[in-house]
Amino acid sequence: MVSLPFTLTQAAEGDRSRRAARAVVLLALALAAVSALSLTVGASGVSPLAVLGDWLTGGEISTRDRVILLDIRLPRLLTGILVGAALAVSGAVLQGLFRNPLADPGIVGVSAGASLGAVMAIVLGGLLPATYASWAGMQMVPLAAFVGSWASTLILYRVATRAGRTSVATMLLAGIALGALSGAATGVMVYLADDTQLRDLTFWGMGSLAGASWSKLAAAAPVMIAGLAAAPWLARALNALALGEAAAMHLGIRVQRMKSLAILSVAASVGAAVAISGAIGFIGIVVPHLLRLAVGPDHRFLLPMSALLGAALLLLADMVARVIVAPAELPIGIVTALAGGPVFLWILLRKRGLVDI
Amino acid sequence: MLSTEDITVTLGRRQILHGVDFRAEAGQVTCIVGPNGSGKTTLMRAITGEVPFRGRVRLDGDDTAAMAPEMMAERRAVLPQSMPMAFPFTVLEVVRLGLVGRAALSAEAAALPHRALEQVGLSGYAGRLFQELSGGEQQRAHFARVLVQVWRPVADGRPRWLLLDEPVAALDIGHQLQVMRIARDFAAQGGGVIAVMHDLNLTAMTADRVCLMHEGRVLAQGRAEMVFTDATLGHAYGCALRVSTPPPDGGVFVLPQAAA
Repeated sequence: MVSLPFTLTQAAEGDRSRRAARAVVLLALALAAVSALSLTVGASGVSPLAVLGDWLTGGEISTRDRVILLDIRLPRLLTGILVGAALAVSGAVLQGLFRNPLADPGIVGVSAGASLGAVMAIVLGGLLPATYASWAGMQMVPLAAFVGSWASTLILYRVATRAGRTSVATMLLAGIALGALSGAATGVMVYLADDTQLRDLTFWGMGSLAGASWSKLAAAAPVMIAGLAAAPWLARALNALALGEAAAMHLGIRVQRMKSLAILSVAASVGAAVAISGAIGFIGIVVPHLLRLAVGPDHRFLLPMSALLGAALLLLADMVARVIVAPAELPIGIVTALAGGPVFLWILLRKRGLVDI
Repeated sequence: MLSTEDITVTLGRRQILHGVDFRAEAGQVTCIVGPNGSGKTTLMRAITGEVPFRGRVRLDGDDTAAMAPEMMAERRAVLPQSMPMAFPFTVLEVVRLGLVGRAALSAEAAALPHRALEQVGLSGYAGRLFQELSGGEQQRAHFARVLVQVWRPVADGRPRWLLLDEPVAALDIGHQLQVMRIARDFAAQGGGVIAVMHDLNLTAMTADRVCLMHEGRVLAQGRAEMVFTDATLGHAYGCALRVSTPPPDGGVFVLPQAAA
């Protein structure tokens, strides 16, 4: 038998980096496919292929088709990609930081803080004179959500940090307390809200990409991209952190600096994502968990793969939300919760050793 | 030389170390021994920078407080007592975490993890999940990781240091000897080894130099034959111990005496 040259470079046993590299390519292709599909799905029967064909052959494109594709579906697609990537990567980063696969922006109160900020902007903005109220609705909600997630992350950090060291257990427990506090304050705001606001709040609270627009995307995208851009600097440090903080320090990691960067990255990504699409749960916990099962926990691959799979899954969930009760649509948060909730419980059961897989 | 000058550690209101002056030479194995709570591990943690302390730690002349973490990581590797590992990494992936700094980029780097696994008797374990290993196997996998980190005992004219906190605690006698032999080889090639130990006989067999701790202070340090005497050990451990010299190679041997 002729030995082939590539057998010389075959992956060593225990080395999953090649498999992970292949998975990155596959996930990128999958995301491209889901994105293309997402452009074709909607309440109206506009086909981007037909429109593209018309455009290439110099045919007429109706204003309606152009608006549906370029001003409704395209910003929605890009919003879905960014929000999905931001939520999944934030989940993976937090889990690496806490060395716990159950940590998630929703669990440590970061999403709750963002929600409180947004709800306060909606309700208190309504008290302003009408001319300012509409401005507040457009501009203040994303800003307030970002401030909310940042403030809750900062408080969390202050509470859980002593003498420059963060206790993971305290941070998780403080996160639960912060989440409850934010929830209570949000409840007060909902109590104060009028009927129109209440409908806004309900819809927004369950999460949706329906409000996506170029102007909202322009406000939120740079913040989410900045948060995602920190990931490559975090990957090696998060790997070392799996050994514990002391061991990471012995491997040359600047642990405190790395933790601060991770927290900022999460606050930026989650704040902007919640602002633009409301609270969409479970993406941050389900995506990294599935990927760890498939290709292992190496963050150099886990973080980019989380971005790709998070984006693809959110687009899929959005398509389900759009077609299942068409021409109306479900809030996407309901779809991700219905699919993600059982997965979360399954992870818990595995952790407790009740399910043998 | 790795030395501490007047190290004092206070945790909460309790003072754990009272002005410890400790010294270890490159090319030697130095063991820190002492009863539970005598401050051995705290001294090690001060040396590695894990606990805040007053005083000074010098690594071949450099004050460790002023050294960047990346530089420290290239000059010394630390094996802590026990470390639960988060997430299902393979043994190979864990050992590869030891590739730090410029060494990680060198052509030799690819072969280092497998060589280290072979050294600690874990060849064939590369593909196993770390979390599924026994306690002793995990300890040896971590030892392999630490060996990868300071794979050259001397580099750029400077010794590398292995700092081991109870490296044989979870190991059977065969692997205890194996680990201590690797430590001896490392020292013989010019590197420095400091190990916190419980087993006095293994210490007497391995150590060029012994530091005996008692109640947060150094009770005695020097060659094992000088530190290990009936009186000193009896005072430190609060029990009757008989030190003798067995025939073959003349090393000291500590035998516990039944309570009278």
